[in-house]
Amino acid sequence: MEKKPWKRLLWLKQDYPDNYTDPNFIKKAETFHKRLNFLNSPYKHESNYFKVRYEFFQFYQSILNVSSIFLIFAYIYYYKQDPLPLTIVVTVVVSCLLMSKKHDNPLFVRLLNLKSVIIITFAMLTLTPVLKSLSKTTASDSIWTLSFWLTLMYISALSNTKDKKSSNVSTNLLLAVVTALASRLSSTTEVFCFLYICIQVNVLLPNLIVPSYLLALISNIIVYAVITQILGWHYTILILSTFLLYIIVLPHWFIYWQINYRMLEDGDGRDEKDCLITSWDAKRPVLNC
Amino acid sequence: MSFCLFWPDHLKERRFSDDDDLIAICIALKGTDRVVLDILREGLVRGCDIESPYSIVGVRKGGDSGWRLIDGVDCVVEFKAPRSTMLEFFSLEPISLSLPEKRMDSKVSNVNFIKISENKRYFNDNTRFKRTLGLINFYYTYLMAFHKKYPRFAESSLTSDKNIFGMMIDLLRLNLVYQWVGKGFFYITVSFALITNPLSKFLNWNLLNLVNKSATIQQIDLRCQQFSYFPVQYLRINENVSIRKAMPRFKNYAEASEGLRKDLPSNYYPDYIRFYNTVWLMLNDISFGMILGSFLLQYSTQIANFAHTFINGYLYSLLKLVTISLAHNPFGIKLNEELASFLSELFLWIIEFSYSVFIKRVSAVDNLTKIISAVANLSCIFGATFALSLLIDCFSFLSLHIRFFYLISRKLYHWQLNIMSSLFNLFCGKKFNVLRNRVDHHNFEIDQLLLGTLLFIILVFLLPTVLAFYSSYTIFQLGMLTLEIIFESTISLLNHFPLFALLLRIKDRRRIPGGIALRYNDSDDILRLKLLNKPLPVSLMFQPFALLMKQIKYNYCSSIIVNKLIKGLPITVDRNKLYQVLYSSLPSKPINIEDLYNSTHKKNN
Repeated sequence: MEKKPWKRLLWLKQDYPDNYTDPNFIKKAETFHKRLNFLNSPYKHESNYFKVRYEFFQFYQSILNVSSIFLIFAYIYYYKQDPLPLTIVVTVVVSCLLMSKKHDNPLFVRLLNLKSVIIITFAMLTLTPVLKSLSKTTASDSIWTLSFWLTLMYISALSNTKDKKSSNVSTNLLLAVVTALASRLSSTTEVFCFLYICIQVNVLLPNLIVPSYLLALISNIIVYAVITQILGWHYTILILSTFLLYIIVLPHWFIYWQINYRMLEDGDGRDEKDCLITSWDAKRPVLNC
Repeated sequence: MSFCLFWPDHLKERRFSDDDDLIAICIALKGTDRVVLDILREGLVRGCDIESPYSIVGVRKGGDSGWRLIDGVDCVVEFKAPRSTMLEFFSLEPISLSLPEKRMDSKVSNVNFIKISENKRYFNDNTRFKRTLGLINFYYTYLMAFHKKYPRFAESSLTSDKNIFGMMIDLLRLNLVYQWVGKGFFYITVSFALITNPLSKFLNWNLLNLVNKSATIQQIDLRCQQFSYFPVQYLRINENVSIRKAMPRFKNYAEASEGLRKDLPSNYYPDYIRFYNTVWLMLNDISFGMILGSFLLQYSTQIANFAHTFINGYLYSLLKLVTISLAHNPFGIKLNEELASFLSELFLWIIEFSYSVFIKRVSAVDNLTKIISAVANLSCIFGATFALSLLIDCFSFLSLHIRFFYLISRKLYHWQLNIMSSLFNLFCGKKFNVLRNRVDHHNFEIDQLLLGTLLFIILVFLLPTVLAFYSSYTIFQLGMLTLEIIFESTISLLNHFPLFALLLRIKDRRRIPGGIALRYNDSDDILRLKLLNKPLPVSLMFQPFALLMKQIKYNYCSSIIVNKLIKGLPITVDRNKLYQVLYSSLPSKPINIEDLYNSTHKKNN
């Protein structure tokens, strides 16, 4: 005789003993949790607009950081400037920050003491000739394509959580981009400086600096100035307007979507007690009044 | 109580005059069924007291067509009595042409299944049948003993298992000269064994392990082991001959049956077969060697030219071409220039070095002719297998540099894969925990992360170059391996072909029994069956070869090879593991000479 499936209901006489544990219980509990999280999500209220905007802005900042790689590369490759002064400046800035943050963030600073700095520097010095020659034989066009795709992968791999676990995918991709681009440079010094600056700007700085609007403003100004210098003010206006659109309009749209159209993560709309409609319908009927 | 009666065929066919009363007398030893020994006229038997183990089992009155057998006879099994002087016999299990200690059962590898299937509870107990077969195997000897005991009955019996030829051989055996020649031969083989025994031990020495390294040394070792085993085999054969001849001397049947109860034929005949097989194969080998030698000498110039082009082309020009093209973007694949050119320069230098030092000298046409004539002469003296193994060794010596390249590129590839996999683990934030033999999460420091990432990227970019070198040299190595395996299989075929067993099967099928068959004979009164001998099937004779082919296929043609290729593990010919199947007719430890000496003297005394 087949038993009816166990239901999580009180006051219902079922064929199962009182202490029966359904094997599907854990799955159901997980979906319940997920649904609870979803219902309590901070993205679902208009009052959280600023929070959402802030997170969007942080994403934008990281993209800005990435673009700095290309800016520095253009500086060295296209304008054929000597990278050494820039390197020294950036290094000085970073080490000052490091010293001043010694008491604030002991966890991170402990990781980056003098010994490791020296090791990394010398290792990079040794390996730069190798890095330089790694993809020398490929044509320039394929290098640009390769670096584009690697950058895309890098951005998608960036994680912005507070407790950064040592997930190294982003660093690897960063290094891959740098390696691909570095094969176009002509001398070892240039490669070394390029590598050094990129690592400092993308790996160390985000960990050291507390994001504040002032610093963001400064970095934005620098980047846009350089872009204007390289590409002309048309591009700057274009990018600036895209950015404003992004930062002002998009959060509203995001919240609206979260409230009305957010897809349930599990496709379990078949529970007749839990929800009446499937996941692709709006939760509250949208009436065009 | 019911039992079977075994009735020899020749007694059925013998013609007696119809109005004689006949009596059938049978013998039954402890634990056997009754076997009819002889049919006599009643007049002879009357008044004579037939003692056990003989008894009267049936009576036929004159004028009757059938026999009236005693109560309890359930079925009658007819058989053709095997002539033990011609080495015929019945056996329940197929005789093994390899030593029992080396018998390899390829089908059952599960230990638990073996435990169950060999437990006595699940056995069909055929000891009674086995003992009866033992009795049948010595039918004529028992008949002679019966006639010795009752000389009155002997005159009417015309059975004898010896023909004229057999009697002549017996006379010859008694001849003193023959005995002295035999003894001399024996002592010569013992003195050979004195030399070959320590030589074989030395060649098999664990530290040097010469046998594994060279095919010639393996061949020499095989011959040494065969020579050392000869005296033992000869002794065993002769020991059994002497017991057989001493059979009629036993006064009392209890003594005789004790001695014969052990399955003498199935212990002794395989030795005989093995011994003569080895001798015959050696002679065959020498004759093949002479054919090969004369062929080589006749066509020496053509062969020398061919070998010259082959060696120069395959071992030098092709290799050089491949190595140079690897440095210059082979097939349009862009490899890392520095690494590729460095490796290519290195290998090119080694190729040039090996070429100028020995390949050029060896492959010069007149040197080749000299080598060919030397090999031809050696093969006339020592046999074709020796010549072939010399060829193998020559070839592996000449291609030493290829093996070297394969080793270097394989090691590079293997290390690179290893480092990349552990750095990949670092990439994902994990580390291999040696204590627990698994991959665990680990908090790395930032300098470790950076350094590891740097090295990982470098290795990833260098992988295509190393892979290109590895694959091209592996292809060379595999080609050489195939050649070597083909040659070695030919040698093993020449060394261990079961020629003697095959010829015996053709000549007289009853000398290599592979089991028993019982055929139903249609008859009116009681159940009649016919006992037939099933000869050893040919597939069983070639079983070591089938095992060898299976092992070769398992080692070299299966997914294991692909696995090893991808992981960068070494692919070599492990001679010991591969060809130990073929040593199944030789004992694993060479016999000590002192024991041999003692046993000889014991026999003589």
